[in-house]
Amino acid sequence: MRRVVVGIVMILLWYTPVYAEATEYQLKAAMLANFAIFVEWPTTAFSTAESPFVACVVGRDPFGPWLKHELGERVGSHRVEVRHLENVAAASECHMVFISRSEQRRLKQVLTALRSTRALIVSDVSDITDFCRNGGMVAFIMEERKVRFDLNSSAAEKAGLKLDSKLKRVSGSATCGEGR
Amino acid sequence: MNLKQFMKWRIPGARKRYCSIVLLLITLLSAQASAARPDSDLPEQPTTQQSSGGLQLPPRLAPLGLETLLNMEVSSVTRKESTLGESATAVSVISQEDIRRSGATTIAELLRRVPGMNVARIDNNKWAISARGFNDRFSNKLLVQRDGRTIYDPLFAGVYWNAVAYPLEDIERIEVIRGPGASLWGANAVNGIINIITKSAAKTRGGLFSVGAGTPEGTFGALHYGGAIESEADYRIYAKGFERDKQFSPQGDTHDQWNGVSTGMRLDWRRSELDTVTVQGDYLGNSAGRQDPDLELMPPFLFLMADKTVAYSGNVLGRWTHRTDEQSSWSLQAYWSRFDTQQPAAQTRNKNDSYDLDFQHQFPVGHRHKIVYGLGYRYLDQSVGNSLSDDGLSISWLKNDYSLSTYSAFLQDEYLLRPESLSLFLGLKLEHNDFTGIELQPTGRLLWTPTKRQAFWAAVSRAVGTPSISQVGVQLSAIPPTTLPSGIELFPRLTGNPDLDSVALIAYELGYRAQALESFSLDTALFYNRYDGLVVAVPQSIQAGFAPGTAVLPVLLQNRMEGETYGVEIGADWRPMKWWRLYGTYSFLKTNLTPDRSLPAGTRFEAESAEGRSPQHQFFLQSSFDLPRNLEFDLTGRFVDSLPGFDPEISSYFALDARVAWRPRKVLEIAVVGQNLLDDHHPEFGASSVLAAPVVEIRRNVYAKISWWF
Repeated sequence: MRRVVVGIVMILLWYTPVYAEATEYQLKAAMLANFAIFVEWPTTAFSTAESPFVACVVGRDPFGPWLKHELGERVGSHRVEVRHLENVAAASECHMVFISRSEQRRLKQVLTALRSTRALIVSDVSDITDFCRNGGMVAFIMEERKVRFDLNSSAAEKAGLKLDSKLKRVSGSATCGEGR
Repeated sequence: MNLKQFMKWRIPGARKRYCSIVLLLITLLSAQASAARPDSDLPEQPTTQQSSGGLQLPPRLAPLGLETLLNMEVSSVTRKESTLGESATAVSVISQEDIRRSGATTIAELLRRVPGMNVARIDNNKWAISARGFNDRFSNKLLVQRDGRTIYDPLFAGVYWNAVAYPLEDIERIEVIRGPGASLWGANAVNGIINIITKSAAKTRGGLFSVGAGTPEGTFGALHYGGAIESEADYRIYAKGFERDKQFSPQGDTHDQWNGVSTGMRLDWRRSELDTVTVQGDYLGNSAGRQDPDLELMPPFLFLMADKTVAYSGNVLGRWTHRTDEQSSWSLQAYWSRFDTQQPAAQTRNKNDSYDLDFQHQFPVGHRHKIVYGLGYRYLDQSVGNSLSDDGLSISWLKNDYSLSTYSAFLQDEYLLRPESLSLFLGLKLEHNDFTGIELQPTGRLLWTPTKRQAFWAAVSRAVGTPSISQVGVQLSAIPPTTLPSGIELFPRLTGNPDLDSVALIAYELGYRAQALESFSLDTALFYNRYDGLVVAVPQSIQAGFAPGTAVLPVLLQNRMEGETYGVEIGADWRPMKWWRLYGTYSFLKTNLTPDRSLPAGTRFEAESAEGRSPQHQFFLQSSFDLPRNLEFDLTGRFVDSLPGFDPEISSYFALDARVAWRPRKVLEIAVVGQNLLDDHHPEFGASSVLAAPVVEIRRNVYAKISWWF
């Protein structure tokens, strides 16, 4: 009997299931890495085939090591660079801009400053309507404990970005910020 | 207890070699698991990777693809675990998920899942709740707060649980601290503190409507609606109401019907990135039936009177929190709160207004000290009113009005003895109250975290329980008389004592917490409490009665008892599968009370009954399944030991609760809950020692509930 108990305990302890769970920002970083695959930037966004793919974080960086880790070494043929922007004016070289929640109050200014860039603008600020209406393109939403995202495809297209249809399909809504 | 010893304890009879295999596996697994979770979601430590000695990051998630990522869940344990792991206290958190899956419809019932808590339902609308012993309908050693506002009643320093109504869906979490927290929270945080924390309005945008019915649950409904004001503020308003049927008594009608309505609002305003302002307020109207003994001038003198407690309460609270930088912040809070109860049949009325002002400031000093200090002032205006129906025969008060002030100041230093592994907490609270003057409440706590997944802590603290207004000023005759040999009926009269001093506690605590595996965590606490100056009712000389054939025995409350309690509390949380969670607790408690030797023998009997009013052993086990098709199935079993302190003894009982919930659509949930399924009815608590109301038994309860989010 004891053996059986010990055996069961052993099996149960051994069987630590592989959790489909991750920390919030590793998950978000992994999704950003996927966006980089499903978004096509205009050729003018890279001056040469060797120029880096620049991912920028505006505001307090919530990612820690995750963003660099998840983006990996390269996006397509481009070396990956992660930058933390002190000033949004320096965003002209970014291909992807993540606006941190810390910028919620300055959201309008930040988005206005980003208007002339060709960056995919992503954020997880709480007011996504406000974000999308002012030119934000991908809005992360927490639903229970899962991360979802809404797309503002027209804003992305205006910036010259091509969104893969798959991206639109898996998004919660492809018309974030419109008609509201 | 380290991990190895813990395993031996888990499987006491296991043979050595199996043990060693298991231990080896665990060691491997925990090493692997700790590598799998660097604390890197904390923005302040972006370089955890390097600083903790070349710890590897887990594999990338990106290659899994978007569909998989969208279905992954964010682990909710990290933040909670880290704050819990950092505290050198026995603290448990009841999360919103726990609340939902418990099937409970009151806050009181939720507390059953916390180890070390004693929760007994006295009747439909009354509970006896305490931590670490001394349980009673009028237990007075537990501090209960909601969003920083004290909700225990100053009249008896306990809580009217019938008038604690907040929509359970809007509670963020309930933190339960067992053991003294007096160095931070002040007097009456002797045996425990319950902090009910409601959700920020930003988290409850949109509407939620729920309605349900059952028997004897009766009918209930709640509505909340929240939204944003510009992008800077959020609000929430709510209203809820219920009407519950009666419980059971072999003697007939229990007169414990219960109904109530409450409404309230909360506004959260992000004034700037650094400032948040919260304003909230509630209003409650509540009628809780009761049946209490009432003294009459005619034989048989003591009658049972069906009455009800009609309570109206309201409060407004404002809090301004300012973050000066990453580690420093201060907050200023003010509130007004009114509690007004009437008993129409007895024609009594108690009403109080409290005004409270509280300031707290925390900041680091150098790299090794974290200072928190606070200042507080509370003004209480209480009117008790004499009983009108019988000229104070059953109940009267020495004074009709009490105006009481409490001033307090506290200071706590968290001293990092060794970075990331050893911290010392030193704290002191100074408090001045009008009954006992200055009270000193110090604490010293040591926290050792040898690894990220284990914490040991030890604490020594002093806490005091200051006298309540009742203990100082009441005269109450509500327990049956004894017949003297001469045939005269002798009525004990509980008599408050204006010279009463505080009860002082010295508490020694030890704790161990471990996240042994990703899926298994353990929390244990040991305590030894020494009380001095416990209140005991001491018979005085017999006085003339209020009617021929009667005599009155005043029993005066005096600080003439010592006591000790000790116990063990174990909580374990295990997720063997992603879709299965097991949560269990065990609590052991022993109480020894010693009245002054010079006191009459009757007080010894009183002490013995008090010892036997909290269960010695308690078990709680919950199994939660997440089934396909959005079905949830929860089973909760609990065992509560017998209470020999009552005559007749309250027997031990097993109880089983079950909940099935189905969410056919994201915005719709249908739940069916059954409580106390194992018997038709059972008693959980006996008659109070000061108010001999008949024992009521708690019935099996089944109800259904529909929730709709819009």
